[in-house]
Amino acid sequence: MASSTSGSSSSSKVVKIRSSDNENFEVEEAAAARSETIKKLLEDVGDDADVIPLPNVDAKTLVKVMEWCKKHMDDVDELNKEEMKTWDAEFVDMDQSCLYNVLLAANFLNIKELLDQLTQKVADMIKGKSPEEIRATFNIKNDFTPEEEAEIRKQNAWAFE
Amino acid sequence: MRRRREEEEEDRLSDLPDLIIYHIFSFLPTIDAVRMNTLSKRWMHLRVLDSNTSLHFSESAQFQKEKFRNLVSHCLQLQNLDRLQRFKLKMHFYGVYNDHLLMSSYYGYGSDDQRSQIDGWLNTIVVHSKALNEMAISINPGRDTKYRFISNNILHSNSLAVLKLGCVQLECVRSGTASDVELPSLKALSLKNVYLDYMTLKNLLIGCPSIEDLVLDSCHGLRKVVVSCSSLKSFIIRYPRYPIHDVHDDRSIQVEAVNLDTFVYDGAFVCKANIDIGSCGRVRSVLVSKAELDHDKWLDDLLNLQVENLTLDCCAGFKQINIRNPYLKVLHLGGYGFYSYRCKGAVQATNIDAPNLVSFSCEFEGKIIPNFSVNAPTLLEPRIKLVSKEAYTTDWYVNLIYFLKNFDGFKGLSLIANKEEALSIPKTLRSVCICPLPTLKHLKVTFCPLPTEEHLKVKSHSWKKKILEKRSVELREALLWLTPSAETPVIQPAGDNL
Repeated sequence: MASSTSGSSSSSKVVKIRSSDNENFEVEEAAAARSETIKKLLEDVGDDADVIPLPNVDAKTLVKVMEWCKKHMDDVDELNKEEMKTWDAEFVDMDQSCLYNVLLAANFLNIKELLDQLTQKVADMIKGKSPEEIRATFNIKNDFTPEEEAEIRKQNAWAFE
Repeated sequence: MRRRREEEEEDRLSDLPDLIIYHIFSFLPTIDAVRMNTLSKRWMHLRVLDSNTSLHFSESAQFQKEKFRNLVSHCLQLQNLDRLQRFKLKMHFYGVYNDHLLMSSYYGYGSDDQRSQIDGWLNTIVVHSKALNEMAISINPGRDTKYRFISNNILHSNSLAVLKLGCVQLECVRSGTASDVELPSLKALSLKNVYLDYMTLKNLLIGCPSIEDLVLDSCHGLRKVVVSCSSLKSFIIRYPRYPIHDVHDDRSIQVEAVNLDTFVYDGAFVCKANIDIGSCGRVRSVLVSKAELDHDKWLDDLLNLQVENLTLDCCAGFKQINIRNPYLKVLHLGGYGFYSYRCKGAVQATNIDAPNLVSFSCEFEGKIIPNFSVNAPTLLEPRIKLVSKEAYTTDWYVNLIYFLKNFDGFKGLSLIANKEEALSIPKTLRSVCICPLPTLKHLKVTFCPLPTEEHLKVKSHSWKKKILEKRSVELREALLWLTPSAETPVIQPAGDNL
């Protein structure tokens, strides 16, 4: 688990990154650079970078994120587009707590495409559901008093059938 | 175990930073986003329509007609239009045009009323949303009549970069220098199932001086298409399968675009086409499918250009496919078996001479492919897709063996099939035929099984494995016979990296 990627192409450069729980990872630079945040850091520190610390991302999440980055490292040609779509769909199919961790990590690491995929996944879980169903899906507590709820239902009546 | 349950009960969605939540909203239909306000106090305070950068309305069976129209009107009133970047509207149009009073009352409300309302919304947006970047409007006709904008106000925007219109009827006129289209920033225009004529398309394109991508998908009324546009990089034209008018007339498509990179034509097998892209000197990718072309000269003209990527799929009308081009890198030939009564005869000869070809794929459908030759010294591994059949007859195998002979000169060969039977050449045939690939070194066989209902239920991994284990002895023997000099043929299931 310690090193998530070793890489098939030995010629490419490897960078070291460290998770919030102090695990070190070696990742191909091309994969790590999918993160705008890491890319910026790499540009700033130049070649003599030792280990890049990522204080907001734990090891388990980082493994997930780098799995995605590695898969999306190269440009996809037409033939593999479908395959990639299936892979992406399977990738975002994770349990909720993992989903939020990866979502927050993608936000922090500034990986727009991954962020969009995960956001889309959350949106898909919301789409077409009634407020009650959404509360149940995401464990959202209804903290309105009955009066408040009646009031808010009235205000938003135009948005309901 | 207990901890885990607690974790699951956590409400992490509400803990997300506002910025991410607004990002989620932008992926939701507006109706779902505004309803989130009623979830809890945390959600009540989010100002959906104030911070939102996109509006997305889709009329559904549960939420339609007046209720839907009120929703759109209400949201447009509340929306901060300055911030609006994307607007999507998909709805039904119930009206008819020469509506008599009787008709109006029959449909519940006057159709002119609905027309002016839709036009009113779009007008408001175009006038007030200075940051509007993308607009997608699809108005399904409830009856035969397509929706026609009262005014072409939506075709006037300085910021709009992407415009998609579906199912409407467009008319653009031009009097002198005054045009009713003014989209200086438009980069991509997509019209799907839109009725428009030759002049409207012409006027549209004049009004879009920066356009790079043009898609005309299943549009009606375009028998003759002239696209003359120097900024255009990609042009995709797909004809409708069931055209309303102009059914059997020949088509003409003329493209004059010096910067065109990609041209895609899908003729839907409806009628013959005369395609002229000869003046597009920079075109690199050409994909022509389901087309009936009248002469071989078309291909010769095309190959005078520096095309790098060429696909001819189900094209009829060629007597010969002569491809001599030093620029060509990727070539796909599909649908050899396609035959059209409008274009006589099948392909009699295929000669490919492409010194820089790196990728070649074609389809084998069981029929004889006569006089086939590929001369491509840089090509390592041609791919042949064996099109699935109900039953594999002796003819199939004989023609296949005959066809495979053309590929012995290559280093490798990749065969793609849906079923094992496609390649399980029976013993009786193997004993009388001459081996087609005596010197081939590498054979790769990929099976992409057609998904059956059973497969769809099971998760993909398990059935792939099952199929691998089930390889028959017959298949192995056939493969060994095909390629006596090869290292053990590689068989792999689909999905793995090819």
